[in-house]
Amino acid sequence: MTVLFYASAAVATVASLLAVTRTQALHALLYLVLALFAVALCFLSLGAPFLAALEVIVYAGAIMVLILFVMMMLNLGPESWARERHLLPRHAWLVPAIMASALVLLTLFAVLSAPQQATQAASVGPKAVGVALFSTYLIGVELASVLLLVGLVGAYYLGAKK
Amino acid sequence: MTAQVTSAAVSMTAAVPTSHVLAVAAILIAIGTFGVLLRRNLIFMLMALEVALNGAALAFIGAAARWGTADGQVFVLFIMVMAAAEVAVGLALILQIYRRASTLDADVLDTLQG
Amino acid sequence: MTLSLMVMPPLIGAALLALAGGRLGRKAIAVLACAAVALSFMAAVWTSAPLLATTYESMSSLSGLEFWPQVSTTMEGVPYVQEKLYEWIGVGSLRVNIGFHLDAVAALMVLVVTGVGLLIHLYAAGYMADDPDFGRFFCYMNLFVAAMLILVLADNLVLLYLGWEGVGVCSYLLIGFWYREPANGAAASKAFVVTRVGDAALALGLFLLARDLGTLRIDEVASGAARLWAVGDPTVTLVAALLLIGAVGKSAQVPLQVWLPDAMAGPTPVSALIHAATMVTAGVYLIARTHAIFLMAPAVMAAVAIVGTLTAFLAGCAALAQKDIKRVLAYSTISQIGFMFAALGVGAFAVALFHLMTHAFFKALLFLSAGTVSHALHGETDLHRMGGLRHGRALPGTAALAAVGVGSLAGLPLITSGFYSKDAILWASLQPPYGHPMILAGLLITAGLTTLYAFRWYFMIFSGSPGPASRGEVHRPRALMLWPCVGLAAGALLIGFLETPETLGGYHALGDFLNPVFAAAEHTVGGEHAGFASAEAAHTAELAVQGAAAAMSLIGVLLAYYFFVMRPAWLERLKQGAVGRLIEATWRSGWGFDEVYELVFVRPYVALAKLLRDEPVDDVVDAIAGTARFSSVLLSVTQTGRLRTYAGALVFGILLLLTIWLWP
Repeated sequence: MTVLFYASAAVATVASLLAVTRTQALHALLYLVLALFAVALCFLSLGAPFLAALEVIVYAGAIMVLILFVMMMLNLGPESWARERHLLPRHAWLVPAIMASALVLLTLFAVLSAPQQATQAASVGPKAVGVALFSTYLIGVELASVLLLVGLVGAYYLGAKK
Repeated sequence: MTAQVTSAAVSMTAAVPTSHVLAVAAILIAIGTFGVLLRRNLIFMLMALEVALNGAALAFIGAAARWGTADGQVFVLFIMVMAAAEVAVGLALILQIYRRASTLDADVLDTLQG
Repeated sequence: MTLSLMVMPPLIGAALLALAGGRLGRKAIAVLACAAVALSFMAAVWTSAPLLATTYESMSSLSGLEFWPQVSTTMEGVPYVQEKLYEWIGVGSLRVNIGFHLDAVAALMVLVVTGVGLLIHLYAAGYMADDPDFGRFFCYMNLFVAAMLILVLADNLVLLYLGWEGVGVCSYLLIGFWYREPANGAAASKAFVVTRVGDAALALGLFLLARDLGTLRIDEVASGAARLWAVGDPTVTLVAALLLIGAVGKSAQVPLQVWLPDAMAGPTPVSALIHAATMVTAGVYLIARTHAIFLMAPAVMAAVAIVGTLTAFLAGCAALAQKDIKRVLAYSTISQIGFMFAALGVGAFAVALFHLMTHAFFKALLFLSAGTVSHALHGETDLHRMGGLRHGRALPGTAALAAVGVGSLAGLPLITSGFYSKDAILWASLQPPYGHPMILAGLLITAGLTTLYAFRWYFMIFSGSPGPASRGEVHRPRALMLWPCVGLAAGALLIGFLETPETLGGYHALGDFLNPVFAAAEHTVGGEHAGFASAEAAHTAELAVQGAAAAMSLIGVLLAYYFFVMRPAWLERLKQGAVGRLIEATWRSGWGFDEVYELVFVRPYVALAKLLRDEPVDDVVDAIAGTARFSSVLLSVTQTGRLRTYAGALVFGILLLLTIWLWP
């Protein structure tokens, strides 16, 4: 399991990096899907099979597809790829790179300097998650459904052609 | 199938240190932030945000694995719900912006300047 | 309703003239104004009669009649008449009434004010007959008389201050009466501003008294001051000094005398009434009224005497070099009030009031004569262009009357009232505890100067060969302008006999009337032995002083006649020399006070006003607003409207926070 974790972590990192740096939207999206799959495997290796499945179904399956649909709707052609390349000159990379690396370094410093603790090998199955959801976090569930409703209505209204 | 996966999971007893999990999460978040700062196209920004959200979710899963409880997973569920709603509304907004301004360049949209 | 009967008629007269003066004819206006003052005079006589009766046995038969107002007596036996109208200010323990108080001193003053005022009103009815603003003139004149009476009759210092300010306002209005000429307005403003300096000091003195004594009633102030302070206490010295400054301002003494010569820009009746007989004597009256406080501050008494003597001398010199007919008289007024201040300074309060009374008569007479002359010569005021008006078809009557006035001013022995009052001052200046030979010397020299400039004035107008203005047509004066002068001349000759020195009969009618009020004073008019070893020594000294004064005046007349009638050319040659020119320039400008004040006060003030004209203080406030605006402009640079800028700022903030939290 640990090997699985490190391997999928590496894939996720590389895929994410590629996803944010592509000039063609579709390429970026596909790399992102790959990254999501890798993260799902990470989840699995950490003993969260239910959420691994959910990650694939909801995130990679629904959310990414949604973005794909919108991209198709916008119907950006080859000129958009040229424009994207134009929008990413050499000097644009500098400040974000600095900031991001600073962020990484700081958080890594924080994380790795804490005393080492091991994760547990046992996986927490869907049953436990379900029990927790509908007993302790019941209000959260209700609020989440309200949020989804709001998002639904909002997206419908905002996306409608005037 | 599920039982097999589960028992296979149980047989692997060597565990991942929590700090490593958190480190990976931090890296993913940083990559997402990098993407948000770097890209000018709104859709790419949105995608970078998703990357960051994933990193956060991984951190929670790591916490859940550390303690062996379901609370972390529940939270990741909520993260996913929120991400779904956010993406939906965000894409609707992007559609509107594209219809009005005929561009997806975030730097062009500066009417609130001054 | 006794004492207010004096104040009401002129006040109502002024109100009526202010409201309806434009619609009344000249005759009606004149009758209204003069009747108001006449009523006031009759009321003054009526209220003063019982006071006179208590002093003079010959009049005691009057006191039994029910007709006269009620006379009360203070604890020290001083008779007075009191009337309270209503309470004006009541704050805490301070109670200020509109109340009137008439004692011997006030009685003298009101009789002078209303009597001389009535004569001057009559003269003015003739003098101002051709003026289009006839009604306005008499409105102001009546208002002035009312204010002066309030000042004199007030039983508390606040009401006195009201009257004080009132006469100041009327002075301003009347000096600048012919307002269409800007110079007149400037003279009026100058008078007002300079007296304001004194008024401010007076107000400060009143504040101190109110704070320390809790009352401003004059009688309570006197008794309270004696209880609270020892003689020579710094506080009471300060109060007395402030009161002195107030008096100096109003009475045109050094250093605040600069306004009076310029105040001659007003009509001649104004100069006669306000700037000779009444308003300028308000300072003398103030010091006499508050003598209790002054007696507690010997240093200030000395200052009063020094100010008086110095002013008398300086003004006397200045009068000798003037060429305007009224400016000579203005400086003469300053000089004579200097005499009065000197008398006050040596503690002879009643003597000062005696001279005040005689001065009112002869100075008013001189001013009115000057007005007649000027009127006759169609507005000419330059002395050098006059002359020879005594003879023939010119102005014989006026010349005779003016001669009486000039003689009284010079103090011609025995026959003029000026002699008696001036002699009393000279005698008092030697007597202990405040007398000093230096004061006597200064006053004697000034007496000589007085005679010189007085007869110079007379000879230049009336004697010698006629000047350019006199040769033209001479406008004869109206009867209305002559007869009041006759009345004043009679007073100038006869009033002096009310108080004669020991050597000449010792008739102390005035002294007996006034002295009880000043019972606390160290010595009074015609006191016992006057500080000399024996009665014989005192007698000899008194004769010596009188002889000196008489000699001064007679020699002065002869010298004046020699230099200004017989040998004027000799004097002209003297004036051509360098020293002569310097002296003449200095004296003519009144010893340069105007120039000094111009340099020291006026120029810096005007420069400051010009500096502040653009309101630099506003710039400070604007700078604050400007800073806020500028920083807003600076900060708005961060509002780019771009999403990525905001995201970058967000991340930067997160980095900052992380750094702070994770700092080892």
